[in-house]
Amino acid sequence: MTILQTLVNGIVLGALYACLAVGFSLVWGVLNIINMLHGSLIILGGYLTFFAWHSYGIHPLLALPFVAIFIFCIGYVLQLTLINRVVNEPVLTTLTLTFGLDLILYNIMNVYYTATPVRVTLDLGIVQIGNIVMPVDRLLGMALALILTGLLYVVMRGSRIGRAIVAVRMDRTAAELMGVRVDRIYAVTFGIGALMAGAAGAVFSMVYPVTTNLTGAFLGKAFVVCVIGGLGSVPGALVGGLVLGIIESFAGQFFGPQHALTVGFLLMLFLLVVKPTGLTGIKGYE
Amino acid sequence: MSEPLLKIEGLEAGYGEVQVLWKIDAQVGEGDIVCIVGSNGAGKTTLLRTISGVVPATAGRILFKGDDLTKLRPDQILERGIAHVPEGRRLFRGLTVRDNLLLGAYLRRDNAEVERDLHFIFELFPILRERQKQDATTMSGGEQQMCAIGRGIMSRPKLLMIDELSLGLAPRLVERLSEALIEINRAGLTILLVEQDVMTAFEIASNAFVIETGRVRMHGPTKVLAEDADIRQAYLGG
Repeated sequence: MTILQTLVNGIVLGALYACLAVGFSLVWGVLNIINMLHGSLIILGGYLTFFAWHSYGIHPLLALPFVAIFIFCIGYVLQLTLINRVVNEPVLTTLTLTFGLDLILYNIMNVYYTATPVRVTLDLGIVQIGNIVMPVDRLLGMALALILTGLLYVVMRGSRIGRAIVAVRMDRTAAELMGVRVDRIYAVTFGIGALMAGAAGAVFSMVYPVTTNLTGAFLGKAFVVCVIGGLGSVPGALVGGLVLGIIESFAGQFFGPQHALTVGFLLMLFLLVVKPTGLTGIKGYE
Repeated sequence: MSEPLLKIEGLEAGYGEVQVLWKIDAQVGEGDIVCIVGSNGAGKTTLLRTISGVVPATAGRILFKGDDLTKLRPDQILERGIAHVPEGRRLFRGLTVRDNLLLGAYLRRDNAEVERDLHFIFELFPILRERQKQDATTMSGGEQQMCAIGRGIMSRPKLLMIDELSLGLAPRLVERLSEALIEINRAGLTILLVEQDVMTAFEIASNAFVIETGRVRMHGPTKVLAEDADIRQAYLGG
């Protein structure tokens, strides 16, 4: 494989990683919650999309918005009814709660769907430019991932809700004085994080097989992307995702695919030592 | 005298076990500028925070246009028409001047009118128009105070509460801000000002409440208080 092909593979993978991590980053950055549920929400999004397609013949592009909104609702209700009760406790408390919720969701999915890998097969063919070959469904996945990530950026920067989320993150009391209801904004933020996970899962199911065995791996990816790119910003997640995707792609090429993960984690450790704010070093959510 | 816009009766509040306010009685007439003065730690800020619902009252009542606000949430109190410009400005880092101002109008849905009020603030403080795309917290202290006051006005309140207008600002800027407040007041907005700098406060306000260790020690027209021997001794440098 040429270097260029490896690079393109890495970029496609990286865009998916960015989309997968950006909701995790938002929740961590704004709520200071390490959402252990994130990986399972991704898989839930993938499963719902697959079964809509497999059982009812609904095209994944059509299913995606409904899956995303459904998972938003799950996130919103979980935050409002459960997580808000402990949101101001130390991070270990919220981590334990989301870990417990993750166990529940993970096992429900195992019982209901089994852990068999499933994937939507769209059979869109391949494109070839020079020596570079790329399946069209992967390109579509990359485009969707970038669009979703871009949408989140636009919402965070340009909307009333986005402003309120940033305000709550920066100064909770001052936000209250603006009439912002902090508990609701927490719920919306967690909901958006869940929505992005679900949408990323829907996109993944069109490109790679999804199975509950991957929940931990996806959670790990989200974690690494946040640390590499810089926590709590859309550009941070995008940079982190692309860097991780490209590095894994080259590591897989040179050291074998079994070592790709190791190289990703080594990069994370290295950055934690030399630049703990991540590559973008952006403070604050934007 | 008609019923005052804001009436506080026997208000008590504090943080946990620590009681800060003791049986506060005060009122603000419609269209007035009233100031609350007192030394550091007297409870001025806590009083404003209790009025805006951030700190719960433990006793007493806060009446606004005759309605009891005591048990309401901050957003409900803002919606009734009381805006609070907090001490230290507390602008939102990472957001532009324009976004900070728009957050002041968070509860409003009348977008065309919000745009008009934004225009009004840019007329009042032209420097904010120039800097509207800049991160608000990178501006100078005086510009930040302008932005904070503007953010307070953006909710279209009936009563604007300002905590420490002059804190950390050069005298020239304080004068500029005072003029702006008088202009806003003439446009029909009632103002409740908390100040450590009694001289400045008395120049702007018509009535004053002097708070010491969480209690109202004196109150009355600023002209009268400015002649009072104790006040002169304690706050106006003899």
